[in-house]
Amino acid sequence: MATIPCPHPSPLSESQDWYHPQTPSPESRPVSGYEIKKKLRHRHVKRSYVSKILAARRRKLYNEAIALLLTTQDVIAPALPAVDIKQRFLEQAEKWSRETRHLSSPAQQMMHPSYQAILGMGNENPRAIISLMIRDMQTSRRPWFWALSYFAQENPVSQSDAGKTDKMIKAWVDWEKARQSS
Amino acid sequence: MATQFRPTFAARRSLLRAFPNLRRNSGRKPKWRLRSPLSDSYQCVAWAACRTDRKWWPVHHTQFYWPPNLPRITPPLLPWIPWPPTPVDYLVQGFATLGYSHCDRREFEFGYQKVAIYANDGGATHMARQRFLGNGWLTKPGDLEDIIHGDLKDVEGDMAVAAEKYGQVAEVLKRSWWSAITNLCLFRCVWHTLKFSAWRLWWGALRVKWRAFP
Repeated sequence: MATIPCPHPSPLSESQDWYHPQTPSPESRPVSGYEIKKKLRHRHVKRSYVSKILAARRRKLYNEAIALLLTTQDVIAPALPAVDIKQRFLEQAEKWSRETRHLSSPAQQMMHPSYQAILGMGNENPRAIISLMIRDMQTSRRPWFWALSYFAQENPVSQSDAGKTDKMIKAWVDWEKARQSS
Repeated sequence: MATQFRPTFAARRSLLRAFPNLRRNSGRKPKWRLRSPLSDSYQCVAWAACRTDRKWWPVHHTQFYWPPNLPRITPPLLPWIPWPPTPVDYLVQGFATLGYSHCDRREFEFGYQKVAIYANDGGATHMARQRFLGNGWLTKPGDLEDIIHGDLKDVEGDMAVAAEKYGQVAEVLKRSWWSAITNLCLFRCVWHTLKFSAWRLWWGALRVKWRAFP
């Protein structure tokens, strides 16, 4: 009896076709446990060899890149982002207030490294730091009063308002406005 | 804004990070609790003097208030020079104007109100005030929230200046209740207790737990 071929062949490949299972040929199939282990070991050796070659290639590329960076300074300079004074100020101010917020003694607060770093920035550019401090006092209410009186060489806060944070901030903001208008 | 509310877990986390001794006695029920929202209008010395309108410290600068005609430290002319240490005696003299005098015992004595001065190797660092009936001490750590803690040792820390801790109790002062009443301290304490309780109720209405530790 002749078989009629199916007009809709299965989309599955022969190996996936459950209806016509393909039995592996005896020469490709490992016959014993030893052969299975040998095959696995071989695969492992192949993989480790490839990974070794890739690692060596990567190491060589890294070494070349580091050598290039060390020999030419021009490569390093554009790689580093240009951090402006405002960003540096805000970073240090945030760190300072986070780490000294629980302290009450001004001596402890003002000897913090971040506060000293901001004072160092102020020595480079006092006018910019004064503006940044006053703006920061308005937004974050960080107490820059002593540093401001040092950089501005004057103190607009009256003795009757000593210690009152709101009035001290207002006095410094008014002082800044008067300075800009004059 | 001078006063700022933040979630209880955030407040407790920052306080426990600053004062690890608070965790020491905290079993199932912590022996300390928050009392007020975050505020930068006053700090520990002002709070020990029952004031919440300005910051107190014996310095020759308008950043801090100090009663007139009393000795104060002078900040250095150049900012990178270390500040001089604040002698404990300056704080003792300042609080003598409020009726306080030296005391040998830190335990509660009926009829007296006490304050404690903390100091480390770099001078005075902090003050705490005993509650009127002796059930705990009131501390305002810098610009953080007020807390009530059971023992003075709860906020003690390293004596080194670089450790940024309060050191240990160096002096305890006391005054009579009558002196506290004449200095309006009792009135201010009651007023602040009512104010803080109202805030706590408001937070309770917002379904934010104030006391419970998560």
